[in-house]
Amino acid sequence: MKPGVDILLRVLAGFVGGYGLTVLVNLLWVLTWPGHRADAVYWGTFFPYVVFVIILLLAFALRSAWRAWAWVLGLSALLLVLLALLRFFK
Amino acid sequence: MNDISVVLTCLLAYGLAYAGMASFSLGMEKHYVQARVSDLTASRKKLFKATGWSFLILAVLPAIYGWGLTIGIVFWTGFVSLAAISVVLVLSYFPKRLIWLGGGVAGIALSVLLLAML
Amino acid sequence: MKKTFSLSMAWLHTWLGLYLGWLLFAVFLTGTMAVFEHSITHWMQPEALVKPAHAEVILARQLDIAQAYLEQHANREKGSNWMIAPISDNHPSLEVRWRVKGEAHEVLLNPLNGEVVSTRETEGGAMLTHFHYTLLAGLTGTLIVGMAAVVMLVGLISGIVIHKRFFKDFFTFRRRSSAQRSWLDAHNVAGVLILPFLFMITYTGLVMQPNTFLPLGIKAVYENPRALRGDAVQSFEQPYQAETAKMIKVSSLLPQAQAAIQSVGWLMIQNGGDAGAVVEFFQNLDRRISAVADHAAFSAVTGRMLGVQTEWRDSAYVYRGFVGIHMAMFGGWVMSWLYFLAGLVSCGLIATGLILFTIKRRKRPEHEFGAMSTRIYSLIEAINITAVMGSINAILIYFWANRVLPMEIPERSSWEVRAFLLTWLVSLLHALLRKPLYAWREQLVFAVLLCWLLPLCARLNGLPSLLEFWRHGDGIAFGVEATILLMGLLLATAIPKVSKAIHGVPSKRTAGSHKVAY
Repeated sequence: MKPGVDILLRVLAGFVGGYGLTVLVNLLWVLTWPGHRADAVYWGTFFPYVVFVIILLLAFALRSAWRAWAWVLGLSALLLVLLALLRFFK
Repeated sequence: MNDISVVLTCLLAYGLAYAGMASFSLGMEKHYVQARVSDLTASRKKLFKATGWSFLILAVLPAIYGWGLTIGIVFWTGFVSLAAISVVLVLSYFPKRLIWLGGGVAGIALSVLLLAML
Repeated sequence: MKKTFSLSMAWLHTWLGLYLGWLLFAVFLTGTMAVFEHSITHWMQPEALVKPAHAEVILARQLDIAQAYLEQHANREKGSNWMIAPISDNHPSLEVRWRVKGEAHEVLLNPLNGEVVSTRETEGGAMLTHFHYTLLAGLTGTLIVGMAAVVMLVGLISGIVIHKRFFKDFFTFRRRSSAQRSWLDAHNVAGVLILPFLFMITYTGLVMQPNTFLPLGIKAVYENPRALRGDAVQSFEQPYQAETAKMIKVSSLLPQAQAAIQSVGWLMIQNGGDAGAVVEFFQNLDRRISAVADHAAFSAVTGRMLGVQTEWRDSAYVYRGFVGIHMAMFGGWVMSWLYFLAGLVSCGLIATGLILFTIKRRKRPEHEFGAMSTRIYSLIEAINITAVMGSINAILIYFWANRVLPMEIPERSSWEVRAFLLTWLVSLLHALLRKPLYAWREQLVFAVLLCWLLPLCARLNGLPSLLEFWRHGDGIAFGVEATILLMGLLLATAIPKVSKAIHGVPSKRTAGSHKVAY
């Protein structure tokens, strides 16, 4: 793979994947919070950014861009399944 | 608090934090040599570290006394950072003055602290 | 990415730091200015000199003056919100605000006689705050700043990883060493010593805006996202009656309000002049870290108390705690100065990082862009100059525009903003035309002149300057101008250093090795 393509794929995995996972974690948190919905939203906004930062770091630390994408897609799939299950049981 | 007691509290917290940071820097070989022409013994290293921590912890007192626990801790963090920056500047511009500046500031701050406690 | 984790982190730190650093410098610099937003606004309205006698006018009298003015000039309108901001430690003048059919009005009142203080039209320090989190580009701008904040966090973490000698070099600044070494030391020391501040300010900046950054989470549980605020802040509004009614003097409610919420920071009157008018007293925000204001509401017609909120939902209190620790409205002037200094050091951290990129490559080009490398490196250097000196000069030109633009031109305040934005373009053109080090020096000299000639310019325009501010006892305007002069001094100390680099004066260790490379 050309270095340019490699970097582009990593940038996309880090930023798009990172933000996507942040949103999914946030959604999962808000929807599973047992208490009042305002508490769900406020407590739920503090943590997800950490996910963004970790994914962005990972995207450039992993050995190949494909690995970065595998992580992003794998985690997204996992979170999406959890969200779907949540919807199913509610 | 009126402005004068604010200034005094700040000077006290900053002075103690400065003394602490100066002490930490003296506990490091290269800065010890910078500030004074001699070698650093292992026991002195420990001593400097211990006094450094003591002064930093002492610096919490005026900050909490002046502004309460939560705001006081924010102030303390600020003064500690400012003190560390001052030590860096003193070390790079007037390294020989680090010790008596630190000692002087520590002495004044400690006596004010004692006076305030009485 | 690279062979080892720490090499990957170094790569990430270099490139993300470079590209986003251009933006982050402007964001941090305007954020640093935002600490003194109200003071800057006050300085930018020199007609509104504050005299010590103003601050001595009791609160009740200020409220009477403001209320009388609003009743005369603001219309009774459904859903109207009149605001009264009296003089306080972080608000130098008596101000009233209201809207007529969506159009905002802001008026300063003389607390001694109730007359309107007519001032020049300016957005003041609020424009800098606004730029800090929107880049004056609305929602898109906020999203870009948010992304830059994430990158800043990544930069901090990768910076710690590649630093390695975090504690060993804690106090190390070898200013006489080679250019690269001393810039690197400055960069490391600045980052390490204010690390708590950097993490705090960047993280809280992100967490502050869930409505913009994480709207889906809110929409998942709220059909109307505005209801979220309603769950945190109790509303004591009354329905609009569409019937004129005489309001009582709101100042007569002060003792009751003060008993309920201790200190009064500002007031809102909803549906003013209507039978359903409500007056709400808000607590001063300087009492605690969390930016929540206890509030007490009364009917503005009968004076009956409608409710008090002094208890807050834990989650909302923590959330507003992040907002509060970002904006630093607590702790008085000492805390403001600590934030201002930490902000300046952060700007220094970013600027030294940008400079390091070019210094390294000036010494030993890495040919990262193939045959184009040399040209791209000089482009990068030009953008570095624009990002750093362009931002500094943009703010100074904004201040100058405030002083020299004629009073009668229409949309005066937007011309000030245009001058502010245009400065970056001029700065870039200049940096592209000149050799890098010369461009640095010329723009530095320009900035120093802008700082130091400001009082002279005010004098020639018949405006008060340093001495008059001092004589009238207007400590805030004096403080702003004195700080600008001091910043000039700080910038001036950099000029001889650039000159030395231009003439290739050898530093102790690397004799003559860093002459101008291109």
